[in-house]
Amino acid sequence: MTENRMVFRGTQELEIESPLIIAPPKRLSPPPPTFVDDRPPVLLFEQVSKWYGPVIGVNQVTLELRSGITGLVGANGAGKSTLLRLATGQLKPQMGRVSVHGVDAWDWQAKRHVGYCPDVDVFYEEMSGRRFVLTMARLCGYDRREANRRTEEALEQVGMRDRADRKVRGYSKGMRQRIKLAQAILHDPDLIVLDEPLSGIDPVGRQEMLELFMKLASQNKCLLISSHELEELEKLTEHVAIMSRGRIAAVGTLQTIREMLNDHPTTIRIDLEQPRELGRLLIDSPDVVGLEMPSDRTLIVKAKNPKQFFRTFAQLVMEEDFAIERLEPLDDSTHAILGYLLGGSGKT
Amino acid sequence: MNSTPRAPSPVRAWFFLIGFAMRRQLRVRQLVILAVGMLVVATGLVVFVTQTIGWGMMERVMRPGMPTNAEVLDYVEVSFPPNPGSAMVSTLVGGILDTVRVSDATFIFPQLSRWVVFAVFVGFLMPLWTLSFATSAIGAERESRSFIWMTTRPLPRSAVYLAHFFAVLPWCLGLNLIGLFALCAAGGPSGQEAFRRYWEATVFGTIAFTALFHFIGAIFRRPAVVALLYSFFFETLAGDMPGTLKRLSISFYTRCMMYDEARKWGFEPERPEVFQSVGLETARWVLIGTAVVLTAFGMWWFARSEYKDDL
Repeated sequence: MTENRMVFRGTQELEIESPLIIAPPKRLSPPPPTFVDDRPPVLLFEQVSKWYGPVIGVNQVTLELRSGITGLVGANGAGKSTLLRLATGQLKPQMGRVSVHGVDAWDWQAKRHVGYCPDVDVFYEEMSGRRFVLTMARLCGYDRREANRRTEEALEQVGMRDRADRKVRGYSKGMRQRIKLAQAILHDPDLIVLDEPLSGIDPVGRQEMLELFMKLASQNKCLLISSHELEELEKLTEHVAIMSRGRIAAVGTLQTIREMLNDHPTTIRIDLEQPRELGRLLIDSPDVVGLEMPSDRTLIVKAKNPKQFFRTFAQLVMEEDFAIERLEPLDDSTHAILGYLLGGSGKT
Repeated sequence: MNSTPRAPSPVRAWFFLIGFAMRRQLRVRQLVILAVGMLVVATGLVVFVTQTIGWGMMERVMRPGMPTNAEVLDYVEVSFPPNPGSAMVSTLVGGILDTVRVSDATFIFPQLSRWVVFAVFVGFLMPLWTLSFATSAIGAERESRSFIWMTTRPLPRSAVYLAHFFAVLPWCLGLNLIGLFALCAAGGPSGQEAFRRYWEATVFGTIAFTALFHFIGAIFRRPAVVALLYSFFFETLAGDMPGTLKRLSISFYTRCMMYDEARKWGFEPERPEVFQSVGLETARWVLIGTAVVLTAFGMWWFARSEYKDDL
């Protein structure tokens, strides 16, 4: 994998809002680049906010991407698609600025540097895969010969060259994803934005796609890939941004996030009939750093090392036969991160 | 992807987009079928009227069961045969009959114009045909959610809007001119004269309507409904109302151009003081100006608009 660098700017403000953000991320290998790159970053979000009426899509996001693969994870409605659409110039931020190679992402010239594989499964169904990719190439402004050449190369890269003459409407989900990817890479963009590119693809296809992403990254491309599944992204990259409620809850290497999460106490509300008894047992746990009992049936626990804490908690509940009525992490960011790092779908 | 780079050209992309969007209009099969269906029905009706009662007064009857006006004239002619003994009476009757027949011939053109061209074509079919194509130029792409492929290409958004306008314009012009020709041809020789006189106004009116409906297609989620409401509530009602409100309607200026051409044939608005027609040049400039302003505003609007149809 090639250089992958995410830098956070304005971390002071972000730290106030979300203490889980780490800047800059620690690297396992290779070591973090310490040089100052004068070139504008491939993708830059500067304090970007976007609302849909009263609903917030993304909230004060600051993010800088250069080359390599960055995974973007988050539950449904976390703001992933909005962030990607801002990056590809489909949406305009109400606050802040999004730029690609220093050019405003909304500007048509920025789109020369961006390849976008959207999550919507929409094509010109009556076309063949080859015709569709060729049309997209022509719409990029290439003459017929060059468009043909690029189409064939892109189809070759996604492994669809020999199957591209069939109508798109007859394609499987995996083949459709590949065609979408082919149109995204045909103009050789520096930034490739992929929204749920692995959904609906069989395991063999997934492996091929992952290899293709790695290959693109090795060509010094910057890939921003969103997914529900952290597990899939982990095969590709150590670098992830976790989104929750429009904010980037955490960003960095998975290891750094895990370490940070262990140090950062998370707050959990537990409703049950005997909160005092449970509290008495939990206080002995080295992971519990604080307890509070706001009512006769509620216990608020502050715990670090959440993975270990939940293991202990589950054991206690089983052994002592506590009837838990409600279990809710109160810190939203932590909630999201826990969801992904503990292997769930973002919903703990 | 790294071999001999050839610079992409936005101009080339724009011309390709025009051709592509033009071909895409063929996919709007339902609308084409609907438009052709309406053309067939309307032409059939005109043929029926032309072949049965005609557009003049000769085949009409005063009351059901009574002879037609032509039969009455024939009866009069037979009742007063040329008689050298009463040459004065014969000349008088012959003169009256000739006058009636000539005035009937000049009545056909205005009648055909009023009912076929003004009421059916300008008042109904022209806006309907135009909106069925123009609103779908961007509207159909939005509805099918394939519009994303346009907005992710390295083309200025205003250029995308303009390309779709140019792509849809030939369809609208073609359909309206073919439609007008078919309706007029079905009306007989006077109809053919009507086509010669009215095709230019049809071209100008179509361009203005196309610009308007294309703009509506870009800003509303259900553009066909909005355009239909506009056509039949504003163009039809306001276009016929006294006062100056009708000067905001496109069909008013189209009619003004047509009246200007038809005046030589003795066809004028029923109540010129109410209609308050404008001159040919004014009407022409207003229609072209409307198209230019609406398209320019549409480009500006479109370049700033986000489409969140699938969010």
